[in-house]
Amino acid sequence: MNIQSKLIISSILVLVVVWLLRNVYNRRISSGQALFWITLFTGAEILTLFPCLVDWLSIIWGNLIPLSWITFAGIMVLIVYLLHQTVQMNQLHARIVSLARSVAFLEERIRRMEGQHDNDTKSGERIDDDLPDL
Amino acid sequence: MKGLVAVPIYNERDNLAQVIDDLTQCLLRHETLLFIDDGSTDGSRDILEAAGVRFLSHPINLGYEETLRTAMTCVMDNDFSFVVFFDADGQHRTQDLRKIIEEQGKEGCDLIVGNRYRSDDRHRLSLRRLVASLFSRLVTLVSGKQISDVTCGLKLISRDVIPRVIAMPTEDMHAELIVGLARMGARIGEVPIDVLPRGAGNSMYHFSKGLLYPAKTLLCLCCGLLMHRKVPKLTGDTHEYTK
Repeated sequence: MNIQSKLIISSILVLVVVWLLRNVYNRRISSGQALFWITLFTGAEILTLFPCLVDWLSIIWGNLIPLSWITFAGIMVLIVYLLHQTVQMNQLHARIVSLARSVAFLEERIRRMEGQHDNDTKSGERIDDDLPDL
Repeated sequence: MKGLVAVPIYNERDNLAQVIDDLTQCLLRHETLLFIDDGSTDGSRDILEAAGVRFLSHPINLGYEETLRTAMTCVMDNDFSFVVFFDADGQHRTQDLRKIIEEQGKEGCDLIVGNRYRSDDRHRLSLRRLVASLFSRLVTLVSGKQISDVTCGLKLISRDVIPRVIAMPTEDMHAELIVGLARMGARIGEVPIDVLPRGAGNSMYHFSKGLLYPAKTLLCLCCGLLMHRKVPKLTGDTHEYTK
């Protein structure tokens, strides 16, 4: 990789990191999510500026071709991240279900109280329909 | 014994009025009727409002299983002894609902499921019957319980086992529910019922869901079996419920 290529890739990575930081500042991306990507891009930046590290890591891993090592490492990182996202998504789903259920119960309660209020206003006395509160 | 009859609804506008009429006429004083609209988009909610029946309405579609869990949460938050699930597609008959409730009164089962399939019925050659039959055999093999129709929507669950059911990994609460409860030592019964043809609308088991359903149910069954050792057997005492 010649110096021009290194500079171009490094600049792109720096720009992406700046864009991420800006989104964190504007609260469009959570700090936790941004941290993962910034770490990843910083790692990519270091490998771009010092390609000898890639050679060294691929030898440590088991005399792999540097390109194979990068592909393997990238895929592994993405798979772990996808698993993490699946867990997060399901936790969010559980919270949505719980929230929707609470809304349904509260809405029923409000509807019942409004009905009770209407009955009280019309007849002047309280009507108990003998149904439990949900 | 106070019981809750819960009717999960998703886009059943055309069948709903008849179901409301039938159920309001058949229930006794100590039985509460509760419709649960699972975020219908076809105006089912308007029909419930116009009928003046008691209903809960999910703001978004959560799915059949979560709708059943909502009903079970109602049971635990109030002093109901059991919940019966009755489909809103007009295929279940109120006579069968009464049969199931009477069976609970007599036998005191923890779970009672309706059995639509008998030797002389008209569903004999359907694909659904084939899948149900396979799951039925699997349930018998794994749990030792002879249940002919594991996918019936008309079922009764007693309060004692509801905390366990809420915590179970399930897909529409069919075969995996029966296996899970059977392995906990719950008493399970079956009542023969008749089903009417669907009046209008489509079944929730459309093509893609129908394909995925057996795989998901098997996965839940496996999870239930693998995690079984962690779940203590039912003792017959009142079980603690944590929301």
